Amino acid sequence: MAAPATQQIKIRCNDEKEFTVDRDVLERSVLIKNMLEDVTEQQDAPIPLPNVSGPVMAKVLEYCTHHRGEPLPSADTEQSQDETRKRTTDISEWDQKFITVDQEMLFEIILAANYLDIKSLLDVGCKTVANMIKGKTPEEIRKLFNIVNDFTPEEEAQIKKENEWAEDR
Amino acid sequence: MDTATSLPLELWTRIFEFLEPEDINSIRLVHRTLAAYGQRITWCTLSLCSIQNRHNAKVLEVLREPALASCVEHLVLLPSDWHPKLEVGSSKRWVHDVTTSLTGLKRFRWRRPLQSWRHLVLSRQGSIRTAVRLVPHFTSIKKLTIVCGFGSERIPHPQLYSRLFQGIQADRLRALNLQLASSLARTVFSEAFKAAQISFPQLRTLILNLGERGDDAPFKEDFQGLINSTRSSLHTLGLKYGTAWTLETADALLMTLGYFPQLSRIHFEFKGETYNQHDFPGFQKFLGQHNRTLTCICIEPAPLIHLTSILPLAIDQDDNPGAPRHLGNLRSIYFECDIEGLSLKPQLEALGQFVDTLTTLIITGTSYSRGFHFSEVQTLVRALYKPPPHGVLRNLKLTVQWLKPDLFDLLARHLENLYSLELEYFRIVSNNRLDTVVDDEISFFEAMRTRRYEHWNLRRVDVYRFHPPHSILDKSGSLLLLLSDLIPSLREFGMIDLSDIKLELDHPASRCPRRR
Repeated sequence: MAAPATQQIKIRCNDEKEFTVDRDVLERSVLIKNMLEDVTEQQDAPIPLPNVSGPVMAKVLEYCTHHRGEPLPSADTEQSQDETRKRTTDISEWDQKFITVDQEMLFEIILAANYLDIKSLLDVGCKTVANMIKGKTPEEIRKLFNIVNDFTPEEEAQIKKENEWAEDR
Repeated sequence: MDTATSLPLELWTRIFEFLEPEDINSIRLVHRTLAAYGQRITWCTLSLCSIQNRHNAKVLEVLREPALASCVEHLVLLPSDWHPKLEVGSSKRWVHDVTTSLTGLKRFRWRRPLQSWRHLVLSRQGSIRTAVRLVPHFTSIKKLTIVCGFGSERIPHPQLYSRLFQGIQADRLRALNLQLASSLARTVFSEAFKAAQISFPQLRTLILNLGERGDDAPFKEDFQGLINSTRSSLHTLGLKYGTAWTLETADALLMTLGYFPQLSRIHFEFKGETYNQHDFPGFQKFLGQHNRTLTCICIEPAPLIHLTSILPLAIDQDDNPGAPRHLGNLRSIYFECDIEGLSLKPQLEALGQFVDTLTTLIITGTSYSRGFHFSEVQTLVRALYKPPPHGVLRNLKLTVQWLKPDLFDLLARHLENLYSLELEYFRIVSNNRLDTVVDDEISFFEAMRTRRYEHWNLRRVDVYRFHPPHSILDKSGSLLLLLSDLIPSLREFGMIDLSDIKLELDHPASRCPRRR
């Protein structure tokens, strides 16, 4: 018996760019999965995604396609894995290659993953930013993210003092 | 606005989860927005292990800053020891003050359930009554400390103790620390332990501090029940005596204690009376019984015993002709003693018998003592010297009379494998000015600057004046930083007064260097 054909879903980004994607790929996003479950009748109109642009969505779909079929984390496993997740910043080889993008795209992917509720992609993005920060001085971090120092000397001294308390705790 | 700082708080929170506290501290110094986010994360959950801890009290002082106070969402007070004082009004008021000042607080837990407490501390008879009332809930107590019967306190009825020990299941206790006034001690030992037949078959640590001797002080036979039930399990024994308990009493007790097959640590604390080793046969016999198992001896103060009592003469050959002459497994020695009162050279040379096992040696002076002279330190380190890489001594603490550059040369040359060094000193001098008694810090520092200890494996050093106690940082502010240049392996410095937080925060020399 032939396998049932995978349902195709249309989505539309904020720059009017449209994608037609297999339903199981799109269901990596908890947001879209919930939307699809809410709609009982099949409809042809594309799902609007006003917070994601076309190029970013293309990257997100690349991630979802690669990870299609993998089990979605349930609330229970999420909780039990929480401590492990916090401790490790390891990223798999494919994910690492996938996330090797310019900084602007990296932050766009993080925002999109957060909006679309794709937890594993969000973790990959956040771990990447964390790895970029690790071991760097404040000045190096400013240079890395092109941030201008807006502290007064007094504010800076106050934070240093608080930091010492935090270290001592 | 740059992309990084435009990320919302929830996403930075997620990024912070993958970072160590020191990285979050660095981020907080990058930009105002990130400082605010980091502040929320850093102070979101505050756990204090003891509300009576002075350091925690200062942390809470810092939290009076409204911006910080609003960040604490979860406050957890986890005192390490349960204490009935936590039940009474003053503590509750304190907790109320703290919790109301933390304006962002969403969740507050101020003590663990009684079932999870492992250490019970009872300091007055009122607390014993409370504990007896709650005793069915204490199902996990492994360590019990009782300090009771002193001052004008009324002595509780002995049955109260029987009920307490039966209720907390004494047969499961691992550690027992009793500090009892003499009259109460007799009651507890004879009435509670003996009459109620309470035994401690799993006890590993027993510390007895039994107050003054009087007509009703406990006799050695009162100890028998306690001693017999702990004989096979005891690892650590501490005997600490009050003002009027004489050494004869202590010695008589030691004479009767007998053999504990598992005993590896002894801790004796006596009042300072000068005795000769031969006046102390009970101690000699006790050491003789345990010479194969002891790994740690701690005696403070020890003018009465002298090093000779313990080291080469621990076993009297005439009385025990077949016995070994030294404590073959001894790894740690702690002495607080009157250095002046010792004929030092043979005693220090006697330490050489432990050259293969001794990893920790602490010999400090008493308040009326002098420190070791340089020649005495020479004798000591030569006795403990083994050619590299075989030296086993890792931790050394000494009270020295003079802190001078040659002292560091000597230690670096003979104790290459030393890991931690603590020096209390009376005066700081240059090598050339020993004929004077004035402090000569400038010459000392000049002489030190020409040195470098490339092959010394030292990781931690504490240096401070013995009396009056104050950190060397106060005066010169640079010895410890100087040492960090001289000893490449050095990781940590110590300070004498960690309680003076202001000094720690404001003095640049007082910051410990980060791990390289």
